[in-house]
Amino acid sequence: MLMIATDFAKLPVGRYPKDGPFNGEKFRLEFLVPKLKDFDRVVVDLTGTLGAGSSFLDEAFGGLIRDEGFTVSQLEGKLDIRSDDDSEVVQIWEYIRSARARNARH
Amino acid sequence: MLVKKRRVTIDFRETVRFFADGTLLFFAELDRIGLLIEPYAGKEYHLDKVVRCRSLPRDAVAAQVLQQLNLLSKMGRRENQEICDDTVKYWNHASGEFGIGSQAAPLLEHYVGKIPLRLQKDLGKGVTEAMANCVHHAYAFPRKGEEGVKVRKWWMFSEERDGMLTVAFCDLGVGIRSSLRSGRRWNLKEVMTLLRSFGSSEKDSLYIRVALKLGTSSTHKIERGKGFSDIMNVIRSEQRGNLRIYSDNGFYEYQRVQGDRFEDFKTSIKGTIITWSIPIGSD
Repeated sequence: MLMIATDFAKLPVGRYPKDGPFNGEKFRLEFLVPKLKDFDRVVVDLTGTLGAGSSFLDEAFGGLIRDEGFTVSQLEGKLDIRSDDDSEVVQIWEYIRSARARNARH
Repeated sequence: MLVKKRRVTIDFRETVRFFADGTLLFFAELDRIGLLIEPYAGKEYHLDKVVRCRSLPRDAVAAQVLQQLNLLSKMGRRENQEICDDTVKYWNHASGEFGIGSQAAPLLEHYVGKIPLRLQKDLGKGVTEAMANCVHHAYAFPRKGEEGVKVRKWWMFSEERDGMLTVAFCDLGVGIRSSLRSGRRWNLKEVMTLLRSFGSSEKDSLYIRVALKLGTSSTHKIERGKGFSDIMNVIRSEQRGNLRIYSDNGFYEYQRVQGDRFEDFKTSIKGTIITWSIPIGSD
């Protein structure tokens, strides 16, 4: 289980390292991907965060499709996203479902 | 004042109220001046070498605001105003140099449990996108005439007053027009096409309009351009309150009922301020 507020940052900022030290790419590479590779089921909980911007969420979760080779159906089977604000969960799944793998775009 | 190397004296006698966005800009400029005259990390600077406060506001509440912001001692005043007014107690400020959320978190945490969860999260999203934008674009290159200025900070204020929560975010970077025209932020061709559709002028307010259009467009590349959506959504999802964006000479205001308002002022603020004002009292 990954609690973003306590395991990563209460207020994550931006997409890439140049945006800030607690960015979406870092969360994806150092937290999400290793857990997804090691476990069949991964719970990611945003409860307690002070808000996670679109750049962070899209890079962290949409990036799983774009850059890491996961498919939507794989993530639907493995990822359990929770939050004290339901709209965040809906938003994250929108990013996942609207992302296209980079090699599929060319 | 730094160029002419002359000390400036400010007389606050007739000041009766500090508004969050204007005060934030004043605070940011003073802080930048302080960091320029004593640019040593962690060292407490004193502005009174270059900026002095001649007279305190006659208005007791206005004087307390200066105290709450720690500006009196920095401007060479030894008075210690007792902060007893409720509206002043609720002024909070934060600042930082990079996209480090923990520097803004204490200001936002102040409202946890006091405002609805959805609004708290939307504010956090808006602030982090403003911060990422600041780090990414506002200081991507120096302002004209400020090539030697190395201060790349952002500043934040929040205020609760008369049932309204106001949160303001400010940078002293290049402004939206220069950022868009540089071609670094968006495709310049796209910018110019939109600009022409809005009436082709060099007004800063028009560039704010272009940035909002590009930054909230669903047709834009998926990896880019969501920041302004988060900035707008604080007001859109609340369906009340207003958003104000000042960038150089330009001004934009969004209110749910009245819609959009654009204006251009004679004087540039030399930076960008984003301000959200939301009613938080029961209605």
